[in-house]
Amino acid sequence: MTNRKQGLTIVYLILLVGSIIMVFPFLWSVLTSFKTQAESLAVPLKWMPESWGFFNYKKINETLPFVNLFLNTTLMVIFRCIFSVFLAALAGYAFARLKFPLRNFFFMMVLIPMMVPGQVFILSQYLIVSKLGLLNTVTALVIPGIVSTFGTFLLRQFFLGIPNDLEEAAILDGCSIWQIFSKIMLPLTKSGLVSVGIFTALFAWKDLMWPLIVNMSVDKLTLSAGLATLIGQYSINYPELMAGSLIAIVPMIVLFLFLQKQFIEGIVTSGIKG
Amino acid sequence: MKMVNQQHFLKNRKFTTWFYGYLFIAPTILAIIVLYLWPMVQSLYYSFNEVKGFQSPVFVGLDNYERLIQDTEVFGALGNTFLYALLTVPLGIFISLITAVLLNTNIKGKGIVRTLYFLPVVSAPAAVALVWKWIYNNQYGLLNQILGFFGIPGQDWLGNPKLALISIAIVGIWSMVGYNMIILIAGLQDIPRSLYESADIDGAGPVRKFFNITLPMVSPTLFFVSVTTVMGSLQVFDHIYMMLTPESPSFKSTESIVYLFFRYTFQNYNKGYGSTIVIFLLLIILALTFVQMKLQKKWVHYND
Amino acid sequence: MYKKITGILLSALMVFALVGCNSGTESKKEDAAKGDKQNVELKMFFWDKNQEPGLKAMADDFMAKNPTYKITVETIPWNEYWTKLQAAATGGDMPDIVVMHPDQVENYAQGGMLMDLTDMLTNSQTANKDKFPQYVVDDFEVDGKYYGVPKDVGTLALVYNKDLFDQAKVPYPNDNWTWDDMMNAAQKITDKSKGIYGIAAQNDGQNFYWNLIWQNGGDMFSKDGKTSTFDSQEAIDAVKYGVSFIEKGYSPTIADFANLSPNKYFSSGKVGMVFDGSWMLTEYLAVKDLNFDVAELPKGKERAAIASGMAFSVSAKTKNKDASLKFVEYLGSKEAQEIGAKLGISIPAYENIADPWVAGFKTIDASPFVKVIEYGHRSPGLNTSNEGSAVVHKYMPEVFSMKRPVDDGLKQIAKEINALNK
Repeated sequence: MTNRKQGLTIVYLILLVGSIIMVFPFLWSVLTSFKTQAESLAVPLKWMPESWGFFNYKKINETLPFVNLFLNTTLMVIFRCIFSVFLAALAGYAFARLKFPLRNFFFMMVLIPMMVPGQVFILSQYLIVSKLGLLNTVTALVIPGIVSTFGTFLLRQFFLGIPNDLEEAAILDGCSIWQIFSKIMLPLTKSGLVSVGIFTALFAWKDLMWPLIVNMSVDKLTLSAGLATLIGQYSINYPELMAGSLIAIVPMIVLFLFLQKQFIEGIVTSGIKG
Repeated sequence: MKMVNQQHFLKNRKFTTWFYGYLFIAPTILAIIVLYLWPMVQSLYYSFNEVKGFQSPVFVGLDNYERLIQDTEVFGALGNTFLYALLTVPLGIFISLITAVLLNTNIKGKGIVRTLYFLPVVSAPAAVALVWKWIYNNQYGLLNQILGFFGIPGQDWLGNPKLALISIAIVGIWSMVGYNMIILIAGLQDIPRSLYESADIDGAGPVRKFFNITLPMVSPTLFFVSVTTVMGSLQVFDHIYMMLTPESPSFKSTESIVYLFFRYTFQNYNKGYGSTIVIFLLLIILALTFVQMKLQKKWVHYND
Repeated sequence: MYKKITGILLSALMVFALVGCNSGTESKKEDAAKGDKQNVELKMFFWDKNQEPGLKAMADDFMAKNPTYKITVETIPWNEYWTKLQAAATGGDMPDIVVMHPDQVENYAQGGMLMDLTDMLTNSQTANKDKFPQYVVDDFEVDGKYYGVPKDVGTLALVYNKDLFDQAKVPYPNDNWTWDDMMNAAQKITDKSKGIYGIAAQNDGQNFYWNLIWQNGGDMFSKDGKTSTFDSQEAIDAVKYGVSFIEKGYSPTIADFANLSPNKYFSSGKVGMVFDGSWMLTEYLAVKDLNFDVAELPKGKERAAIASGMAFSVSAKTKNKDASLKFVEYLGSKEAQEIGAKLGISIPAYENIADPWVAGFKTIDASPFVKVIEYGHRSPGLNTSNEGSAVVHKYMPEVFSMKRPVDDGLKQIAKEINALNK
């Protein structure tokens, strides 16, 4: 028992040290958001602001249309998640469990876009959106994210890890492939679906380049892109930028906390398996 | 009669499987062709052309490739990129796995700790670069202060060409752990608990359970993590771009392949040569991915 | 599960369709507006949020005088601006008016993306090229045609920390300062025990050694721009002078600058002097307890400093040609540039109206930046769009960290750039 306690202490210690390291930039953002521009420029870095006022938050709220930005970001994230999780689950399942000619060839097609930097795609994708007449719309924000190569690959791995006796039993019961997929396989990869959702949301939320390139008016941008417009050519008002970033982080944290619950539920359901 | 029926059933089943297979991958493949593969075909085309500014491409055959194989800068950048991958991939995956396993146990407050580990992933990139520059600062930096506390002389983490890549690699590992941890936790979640329960009955300790159950069962996810991490680390760009300038004495020892691609394509308007660099990078990653695919049979445990 | 997913997907598609419809009607409205000659909508891009109020004020003034116009000004950050413009130009969606940079104009002009403004600049009463500094007009000349109405100028001067000069009992820089004076001052101000340096001798062409080369009577390129003269004796001597500040310990090393930028060294009061641009004043003024002022760069053999400008350009494919030209002509007028000068952080390009800009600074004398307009040099165009910058970045860090002799480094640079240009 003491052995176990010692082990637990070590675990907590490791996690604590890790958390401290992880939390630094966030902490700095929080503290900076209360500083004046002059304080933020001090050398050497001063961690603590002299006073705690919300003036930067007020200022940023006047500069940027947060309601619009928030709405656009939410719409973009929701639609990208719905499409990419659904399509990735279908394709991931097919790549993992269905045998058909040229399967590996098609799977390579999924992997190849991950092997080059994202800037390679931007110009062509822009031209597609432009030809469709969708520039400066929320739809334009969604388009490149309707399919997730990352998610397809991840879910393929998850489907590969599922024991195949379940599937065999279902085949003998006369289940169709669609039934096996939707009734048996999908529920078993819940954590995988959730993590594809988290990452789709995250990539969408982080992406600056795409929103700024397809959309032009500030009320059609996303939170991150809207914040990026505050970065001047030569100077950055860090306190305002950090205040804005923190407002923008809130939805992501809420989403993460919410989806984490799904993770925990996953533990409960996984008892059924195997 | 019966045999024929069964054969017919199986054959039917085979074609039905084909049909569903193509049906399921069709939307994904179509979207990928339009949104991702077509631009890459264009890059391939540009790599055989001289493309400057808005002028139409002029076919130059293999000129760009000839330039590439003689370009010492490209090979310098390739060396930096490989070194970066060697520094970040094994250590980064190791730390991610340990963290994921620890955060998947039934300890108190794991929700909070997971959120804390998730924070670097959502922190503003400007904040990340700035804070790390402060941590590394040769005069006031936190890192040198901590080292000084233990009597170790401070280093010039960013200014010294021999250390700069290591410093960038540390930031790379730091920002990678949050991502990989979430994926690995998801993988760990899907391990049937019954396996652990029967191991408990056999009296297996935590170490044996880790090697006999956790590692093989999470290996498909781990395979995903290692393939994507290798791809990502060979495309390192952001951290270098944000933390060092080309004027810095240590820049040449950190410059990566993607940096060169970025510079030629977006700053020098030499899209032809920029595309050649991208194709070169693609071939390297493709080869490495292929090797990983072949090697997976040795260590990844599938139920296929 | 199946029903759930189809349900979600269906509702998703419905909302999707709604979003699509909204945008459809909007664009129809725009088309209607364009067709109607009474109302003209114009769009303009720029990359600096700090200058947005100035541009919006100019647009407002124009709209007040021309009520049928509706002008929108949007800010795209610098890092994405050129990618966006490239994409928009390729897709034929360039906004009617864009702000151009001297390093970029050649690409866009030669690619047929910009409207030839030669006619306007030679004949206009309000936005005539005679009213602007020659080098800014020339910066936007491509193959004998003018593509930009000058917007503003950015110049370089010596920004110095008065407190550090006082502590070292050195008189402030004045109009007659020479290279020797600057070296002496740097020596006296340097106090290693306190971590204080005389000057920030940075490995940066625009913000340091190009200016020295010009002051020494040299240049980076021959007059026709075809041959690199980085290896000329004037250039070598100038860079030697620049590097000697580091050699003698009067400046932080360039490895130090990798940790803390020259601007930060100056704003934290650790450096007595820095060559800096007119665009940095607002940032320095925001720093508490930084007691500084501005002088002209010291004289070498001659007076020289970099001065470059931005300009307003018109898209070649604009659907509102006459309206765009009218607005751009207004933007180049005295009245418009005065509005910008009062609000903006940049020096207006229009002749003799820099006073409101100088007057905007209460605690410092910004006039040395304006004086540069008389003797400014154009940027050699090395910084972004030319592969020459890669050659410079290959050798200059070695030169400035004293790992390679100055003459050897500069000769290599000239040799490789000339090989590229062949």
